[in-house]
Amino acid sequence: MWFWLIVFAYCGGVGITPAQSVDGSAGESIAGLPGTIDGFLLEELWQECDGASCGLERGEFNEILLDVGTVQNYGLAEGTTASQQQQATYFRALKLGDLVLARACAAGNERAWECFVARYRQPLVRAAIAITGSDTLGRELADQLYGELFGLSTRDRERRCPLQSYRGRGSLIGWLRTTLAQRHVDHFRRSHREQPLEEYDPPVPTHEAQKPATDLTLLEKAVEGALKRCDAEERFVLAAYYLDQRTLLQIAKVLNIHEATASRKLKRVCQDLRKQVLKNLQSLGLSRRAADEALGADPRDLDLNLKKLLQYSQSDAFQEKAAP
Amino acid sequence: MNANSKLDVHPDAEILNAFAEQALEERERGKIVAHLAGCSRCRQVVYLAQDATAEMVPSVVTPDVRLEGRRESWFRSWRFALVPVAALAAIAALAYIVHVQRIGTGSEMAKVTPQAAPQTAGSNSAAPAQATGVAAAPVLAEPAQSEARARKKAPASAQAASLGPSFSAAMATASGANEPLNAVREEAAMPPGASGSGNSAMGSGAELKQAPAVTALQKEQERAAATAEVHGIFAKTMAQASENESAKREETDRIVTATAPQFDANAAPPASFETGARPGAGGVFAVYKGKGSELPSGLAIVSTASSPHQTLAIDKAGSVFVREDSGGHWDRVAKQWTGQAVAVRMQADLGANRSASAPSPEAVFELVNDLRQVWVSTDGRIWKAK
Repeated sequence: MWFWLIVFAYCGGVGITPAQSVDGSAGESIAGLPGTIDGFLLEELWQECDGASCGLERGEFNEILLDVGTVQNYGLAEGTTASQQQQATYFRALKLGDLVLARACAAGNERAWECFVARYRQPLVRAAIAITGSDTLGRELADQLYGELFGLSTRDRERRCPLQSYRGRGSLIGWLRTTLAQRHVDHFRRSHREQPLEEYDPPVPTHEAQKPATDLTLLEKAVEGALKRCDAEERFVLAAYYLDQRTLLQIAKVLNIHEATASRKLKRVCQDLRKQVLKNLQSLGLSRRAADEALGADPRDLDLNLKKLLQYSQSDAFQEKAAP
Repeated sequence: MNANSKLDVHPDAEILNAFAEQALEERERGKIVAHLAGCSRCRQVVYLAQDATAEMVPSVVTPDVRLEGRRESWFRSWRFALVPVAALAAIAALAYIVHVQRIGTGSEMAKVTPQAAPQTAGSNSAAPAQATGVAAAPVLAEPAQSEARARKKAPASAQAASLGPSFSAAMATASGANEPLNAVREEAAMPPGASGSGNSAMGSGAELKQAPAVTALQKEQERAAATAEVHGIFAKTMAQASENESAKREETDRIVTATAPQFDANAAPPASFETGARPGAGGVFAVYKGKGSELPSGLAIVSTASSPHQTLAIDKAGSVFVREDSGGHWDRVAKQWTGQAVAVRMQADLGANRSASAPSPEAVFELVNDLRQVWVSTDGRIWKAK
């Protein structure tokens, strides 16, 4: 009796109550050892993913988790050591079933391939048809990707399987769709400018372009400056709506917001842009009235490439990673 | 990351897919949005992947997920309909309750036999209720037990307690009653055979007692009381006396009316005058409706009489109305009598002395004023002094 009272008093003194879980307190501060995963967590994840049905073994599963976690540093910034709690959070957010299947297929496991074909063969074809908008092109695209997934392509006499790059952050079918879309877009961008020579009609050289007036030059600078001040989401909305001709619903789906919210956002961005352009024009020396008149200029007279401007103003987040 | 496009680097399919499935953290998501803002290629990839997702959603999900999604979609598709459905259910329940209550109250009606004895000995000082009780005493002697039970159940008042359960002598005389008599009593319906018992108009209680129909009537009263007790229905009786214009008159005919819900199993639907449904009954039936009036004047009915084709009614103000059909259209009858009409009836020999094979004689209505003078009419519209 007295013993337990002393124990409770001690726990209260150090800030630990007996009902407090280990995960919520001590686990936060215990850093996971590099190259190891907690045994209980591993067992829990193994039971969850049902890797045995794909012909996977516990050791392979452990290696897969370590590989995925290490490559992405458990979703943390580089240089940060993940604790056991953070590791558990990261692994529980993964689609472990899909990850195990993809890695087993990449390893050439026959049972895994049977499972993959049963689950994803037909959806893959349907997704390809939906992406290309053509049954023939869709089946061709799906067969091409399927061959790649099966490891028909080799590099340095080593079998290459794109499934190896799947890391379970999204669903496997989503990854397949995105991969198909990437292949299709890349193919289109490579080939859409190709046309037979006999049909090629070089454009008539136009007369020397009229030298833009001073006001138009100022307007171009003002627009360029206003676009640079927009944040990433605003530029995305502008590009998706005005360059890609996407609907508000499609934009809203991408941004995971409501369609009405996307509409309000677009309206607000346009209003802010106009104000900013006016402000820039005034700062460039125009009066308020002259700035208003300059905004009434025909956009075709402007030598502005909005696409380049939006690209130019993008963040260099991925350019940082382009080096390796 | 791939470095094989115009832009230096693109997020790979893993990242774009996670972005499209909202599986990225805010930090990474911001980077992707920033890239998408300037990279038309990746925007196209995301759009295409999303379009493909929308087209193949039903067939892509695994069986377990499909079941879960079906439940969720069912709930999502119907959850907004649950609110109006619940509101409609509540309204329907409320309407049902109101309907049931109306049926319960609407069935309360009275059937009164206005065969009141001309009470000449009444005094002005006598209370109306007492006078009524005296007049009804000969008839009410036997069903004392049922009367007592009814008294216990009826909404108590002194006047109601003094009144008997029977209204075979519904039209009782009272003297000096200038105010309407409100009494609550148990009602007994007059059986068809007893209603035309050959009594003369305004016959006395003694005459009624000697009539052969009285025994049947008393039995009917007992049965009525028992039925009322079994069903837990409190018979409510309202007695109203027509106001006498002159307070100096010694005698005033008083119309005692009653309501009795669900009393006679053989009776017609209780919302109307039952006597009209019994053409061969003859006699005089005074019907009083406990609630409201359907007369154009809006006043309560104090007396009514029916032939097979016509119904006459007198309201509280003494106005006479006639109805040709069984509908609700009443015509006001021009006043062709002196004083105030207090009762209408049919000539008593109608139906009583008539054989079944005999042709139906023409109905003759009688109208009694507050001076006990009688007028007769065959159509209810043209009256002649008798």
